[in-house]
Amino acid sequence: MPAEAAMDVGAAVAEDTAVALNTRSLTAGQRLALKYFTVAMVLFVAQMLFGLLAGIQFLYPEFLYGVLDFNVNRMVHINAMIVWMLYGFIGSVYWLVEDEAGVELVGAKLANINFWVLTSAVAVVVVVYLVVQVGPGKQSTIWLINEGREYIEAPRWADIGIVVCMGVFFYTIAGTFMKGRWSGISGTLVLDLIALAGLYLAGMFYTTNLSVDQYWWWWVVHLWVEATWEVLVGCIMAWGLMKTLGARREIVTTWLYIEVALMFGAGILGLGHHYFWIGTPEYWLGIGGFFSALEPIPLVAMVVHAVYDAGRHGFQSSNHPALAWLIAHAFGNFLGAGVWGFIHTLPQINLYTHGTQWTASHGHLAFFGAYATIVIALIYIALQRWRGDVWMSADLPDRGWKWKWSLILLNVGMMGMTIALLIAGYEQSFIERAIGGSTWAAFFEGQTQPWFVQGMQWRMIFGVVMTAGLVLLLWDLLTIGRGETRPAKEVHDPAGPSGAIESGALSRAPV
Amino acid sequence: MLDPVELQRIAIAALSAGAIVLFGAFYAVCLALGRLKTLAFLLRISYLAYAALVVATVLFAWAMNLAGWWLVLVVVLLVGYFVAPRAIWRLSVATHESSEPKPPTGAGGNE
Amino acid sequence: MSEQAWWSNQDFWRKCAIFVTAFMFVVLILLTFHSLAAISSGTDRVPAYSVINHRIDYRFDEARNMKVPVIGEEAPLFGKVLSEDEARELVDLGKLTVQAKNCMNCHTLLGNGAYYAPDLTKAWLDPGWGNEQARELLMTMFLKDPKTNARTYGTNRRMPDLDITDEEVRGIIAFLKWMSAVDTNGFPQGFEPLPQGGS
Repeated sequence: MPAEAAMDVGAAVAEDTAVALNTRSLTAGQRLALKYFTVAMVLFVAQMLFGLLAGIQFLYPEFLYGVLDFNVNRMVHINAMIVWMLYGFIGSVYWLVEDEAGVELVGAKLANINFWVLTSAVAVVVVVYLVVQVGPGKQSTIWLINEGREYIEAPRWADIGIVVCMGVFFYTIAGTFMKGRWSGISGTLVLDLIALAGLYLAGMFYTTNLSVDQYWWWWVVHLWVEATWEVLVGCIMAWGLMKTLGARREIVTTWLYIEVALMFGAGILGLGHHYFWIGTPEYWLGIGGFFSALEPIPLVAMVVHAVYDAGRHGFQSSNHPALAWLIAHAFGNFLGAGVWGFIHTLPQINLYTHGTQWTASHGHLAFFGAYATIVIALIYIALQRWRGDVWMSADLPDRGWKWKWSLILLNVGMMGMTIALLIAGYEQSFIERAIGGSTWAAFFEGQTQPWFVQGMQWRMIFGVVMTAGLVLLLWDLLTIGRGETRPAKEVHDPAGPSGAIESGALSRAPV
Repeated sequence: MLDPVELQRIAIAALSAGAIVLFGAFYAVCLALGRLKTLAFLLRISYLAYAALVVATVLFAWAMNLAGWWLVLVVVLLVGYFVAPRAIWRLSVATHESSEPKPPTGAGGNE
Repeated sequence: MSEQAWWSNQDFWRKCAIFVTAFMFVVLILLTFHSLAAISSGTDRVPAYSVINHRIDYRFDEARNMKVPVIGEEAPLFGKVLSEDEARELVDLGKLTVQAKNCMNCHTLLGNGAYYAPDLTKAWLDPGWGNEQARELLMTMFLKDPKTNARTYGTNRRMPDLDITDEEVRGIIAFLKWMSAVDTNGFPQGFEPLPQGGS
C-alpha cells in the first residue's frame, strides 16, 4: 500500500526537520507539497539574486562582463520565476488533492520519485546555464544546453523530461480523483492540467522561420500565463476559500465556472496582442486589440463580488498572513494585469512600447501580483497546518512583525520597481522609437537619457528593498507558529464568504 | 487601418487608458458598497465615477486615433464597464441567496 | 436550489464555461490555419529565404499607412547568388546560432526578448553601418570580435565574445537580412534604413 511507504518517507522527513513540526499529521500529498514549496522558495531566492545581478549590469555594464553576462543572468532570472511558480502550483495541487478526492494519494511513492527527478533536472539545467552558457550553432546546443527562446530556454532533453514528469504528476492527481470522488473543482483542475501540458508541446520544436517560431512560442507563453495558469489558480483558490474562510462549495464552484467563461472568453483571442508585429496578418491588430482591451472588464466587475462577500461576511480569517497576501494578490493583479496591461495593449500605442521597458514594467507587476502573491499565501496556509493547526490570527507573540514587514517590503519594492521601469520605458519609447526611429543609435541615446538612467537606479534600489523583504519572508516562514499552543481560530460561518478573493484571480496579460 | 498615436499624445493615451480601468474599478466599488450598505451618496458617486470613465474613454479614443471599426471598441468599453459590475452584483445576490436563510440588506440593489 | 434563476445556477455556468472555451478555441484554431499559411516562407508577408540575394528596402505604403519591406534588384549577400535551398540552409544556420548564443536574452527579435541591447528586426538596414558597401564587412568584424569593435554610444554596454565561427557569422548575417524583409505591420515605427543603391 503506497500509504505505508509514504508514512516511512514522512517519518524520514520528520527526523530531518529540526523544529517541532507535526509532519505526521500531514497526508502523503501534503508532505510532498511541502517539498515543492521548499524548492519554490529556493528558486524565488535564485530569481531575486539573478535579477539583482542583471539590474546591476544595466548600471555597470562591466560588472561580471565575460563571466556571467546579462543574457545568462536574465535567463536564469526569468526561468527561476517560471519554475518556482510551477512548483508552487504543483505543491498546492498535491496539498489539496486528497482532501478534495476523499482518498489517499494514488502513486505516492512514484510522485515522490518524480519530485526528485524533476528537481534534479532543474538543478542540472541551471548548472549548465551557468557553466556552459552558450554553444555552437548546432542542433546539439538546442538539445543539450539552451534553446535560446525567452521563457522556454530549457534544452530539449529537459523539455521531454518536463513533459514526462508532468505526465506522472497528472497521473497521480487524476488517478486520485478517479479513485475517490470528482467535483466541479477537480474536474476543472484536471482539464486545465491537460491543456497546460498540451500547450507546452507547442514550444518543443525548431523551425527556421522566425515568424512561425514566435507564433507557437506565444501559444505556450500567453496561453499559460493568461489562460491555463489563471484557471489553475482559480481552482486552487476555490478550494482554499472553502478551507480557510469557510466558503460553501456550491458557491465557489459556480464562481469558478463564471471565471473560466469570462477569462477564456477574452483571454484566448487576447493572444492576438502578441501577433501585432511578428509577421502575422494585419487582422490580428484588430482581433488582438479588441479582445485584449476587453480583458480588464471582468477583472473590474469581479471587484463587486469581492466587496459583496467581504461586506456581508467580513474577513474572518484563521490565517492573517495568508489573507493579507490574498489581498495583495487582488490589488497586484488588478494593477499589474489590468491597468499596466491596458495602457499599452492597443496596437496604436504598442507600436512604440513593444519591446521596451514598458513590457518589463508590466511583466514584473503582473507576474508578482497574479502568481507570486498567491503561492506565498498558499505556503502560509500549508505552514499553519504543518505546525498543527495553530493560531495565526491577530496577537502573534512578536506581533507578527516579520510577516507584516516582509509583505510591506516585497510589495513596496515591487511597486517601486514597476513605476521606475515605466518611467524608463516612457523615456525609451519617446526618444528611441517616436523621435529616433528605432535605430541602434536611437536605442543607445534613449538608454543614456537622465530619466532612463535614474529609472534604472531606482529600479535597483527597490530591487534591494524587495530582497530585504524576501529575507524576512523566509525567516518568517521558518519560524511562524513555532512554539504556538493556541489552536487556530474557528471561522466556520454557515453563511461564510465565498468567492471573494478568487474574483481577483481573473486577470489579463502578464506578458 | 492602423493610425498610430501622435508623438506628443503617447502620455495622454497611456494615462487615459489607465484612468479607464481605475475609474471602472472605482465605479464598481462605489456601486457595490452603496448597494450593500444602502448608502445613496455612494451610488451617486458611482455615477460620477462612471462619468469620469466616459471622459477618459473619449480622451482615450481621441489620443489613440480610434476611428472607423475601432469605434465599436469604444462603445463596447462604455457599455461593458457600465453593465458588467451590475450584472456581477445581481449574480452575487442570486448565487448567495439561493442557499442562504437571510438575504442581505440591500440585496438586489435599487435598479 | 430549484427556485434559483436559470442565469445564476451552477449548471448554466458550467455549460457556459465549456461552450465559451470551446468556441474561442475553435476560432483560434481556424485563425491559426490561416495565419500559418500567410506566414510560411515565400509569401507576401514572410519572404522566401532566397530574398537574401536581393536588395531590401523599407518604404512607406500609402494604402496601408505604414512602412513595408520592398524587395529590390539583385544584391547577393557576400557577392554570391544562392539557390533557395542554399539560402535556406544559410539562414537556418543563422537562426540556430541566434538561439544557441542566447541572443534573445539581451536583444529583441521582432520586438520580443530582452531590453539590454538593440532590437534586431531591422539590424541589416540600420543606418549605423554607414553604407551598403561597408556593411557586410563591418557586421562580420563586429560579430567576430564584439569586444574590440563595439560601438556602445557612451553606454559601455558591449556584446561578449561568443566564439562565433566564420560560417556562423555568415549565417547570422543572412538571417538578419532575411528578417529585415519580414512584413511586421510597420514595426519598428519611423525606421529610416541606411542609404542603398544610390537612393
